[in-house]
Amino acid sequence: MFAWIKQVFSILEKDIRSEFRQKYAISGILMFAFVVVIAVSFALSGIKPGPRFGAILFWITVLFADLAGFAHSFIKEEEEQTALALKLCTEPAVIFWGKMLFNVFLATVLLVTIIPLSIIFLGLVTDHWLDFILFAFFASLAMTVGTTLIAAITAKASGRGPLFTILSFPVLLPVLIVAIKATYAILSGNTLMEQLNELITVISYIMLKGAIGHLLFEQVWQDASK
Amino acid sequence: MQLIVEKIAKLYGERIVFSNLSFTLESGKIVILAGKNGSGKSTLLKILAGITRPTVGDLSYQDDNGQKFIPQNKQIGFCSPYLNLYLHFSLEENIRFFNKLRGTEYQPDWLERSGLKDRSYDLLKNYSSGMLQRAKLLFAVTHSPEILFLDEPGSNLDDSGREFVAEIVKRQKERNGMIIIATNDNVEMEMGDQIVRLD
Repeated sequence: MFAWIKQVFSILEKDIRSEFRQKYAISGILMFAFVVVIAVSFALSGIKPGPRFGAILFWITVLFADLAGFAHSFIKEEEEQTALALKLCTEPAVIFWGKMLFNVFLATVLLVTIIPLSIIFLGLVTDHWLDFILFAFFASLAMTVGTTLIAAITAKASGRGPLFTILSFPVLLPVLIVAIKATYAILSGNTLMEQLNELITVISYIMLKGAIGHLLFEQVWQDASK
Repeated sequence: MQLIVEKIAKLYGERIVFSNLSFTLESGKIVILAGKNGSGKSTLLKILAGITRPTVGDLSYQDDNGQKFIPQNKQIGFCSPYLNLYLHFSLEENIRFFNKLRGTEYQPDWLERSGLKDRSYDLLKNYSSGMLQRAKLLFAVTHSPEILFLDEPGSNLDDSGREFVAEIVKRQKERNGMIIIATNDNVEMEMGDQIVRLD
């Protein structure tokens, strides 16, 4: 078990190191988030969007930033023809969870960037910042698990870019709806405990999609090379 | 150790790459897969390495006691033109990363033998095609695999590079490992103890 975890972290370490050298995904994600928040801020001309539209804008930005960057870690392995070397060295589940952790890393960087931007430019306010951040982290994690699963499935397909976006949207829609609903409530003054159902839904989604990914990825990885 | 191949065939759609192929390979012998371009040498090599599956037929590895086994990642060494290493990493970083993934020890003496020791901290994107081929050969051998698959190992290599290939093959044979080479190169074919023709 320890060796397995060590291998997963080796993939994560490799991807982070590769990302800092190539700036392949992170710059795209952050630029997307930055441009959307600033553009919306200018469009609103100083008008505060309020909790409902604040929550919608926040999660739409997170969703599209995720879609802009989370497929890269798999696609890059295919495009640079390094996937075979990975496949020869370790089991598929290690690769899946290593890529998942890398996307969690990207999602965390995105949240750390987008939350202050949203406070400054969209005027997001709440009395329960810790609750907001905690829920945002879990909902973002759910989106990450969903997009990583789709990225893994589509990485070997031709036309994978559009396919990834098309397939991701229905998979992420339930999380998006729950995330907007709970964030609206937290921005309106509710605590996270009052949104426990949404939190449980999000955590269940993470566990379900994680388990599906763990079980399916070997087939996807194997079949695609037939 | 033996590799027994029984009546395998590979089809891509309706195109038959090869069919009804049966042979037995033994460790300690150098096996050459030969055939014209498009005859399926690389496909067969991938099937033998477990990277892809035959459309029909069966293959199995047996240890010295006749027990069937599925080779683990660390038991396999593989080098081919369609396998790339990470070009934004140095050779040293690549080798360490892949050995960490395999859970194997990195044999540093191979680096010296490859002739790349002085350039091992350079990023692979700055390597020539011949140097990249040597790096790929290192990827295949630094963990001392029991089964070694080499697809066109001499491509892009100069004379000293070809000597490096010959040394890899010689050492693998001395270790009583299994060596399977897909090639059309006459010099490489001469190294073989057994030739499987796909024509």
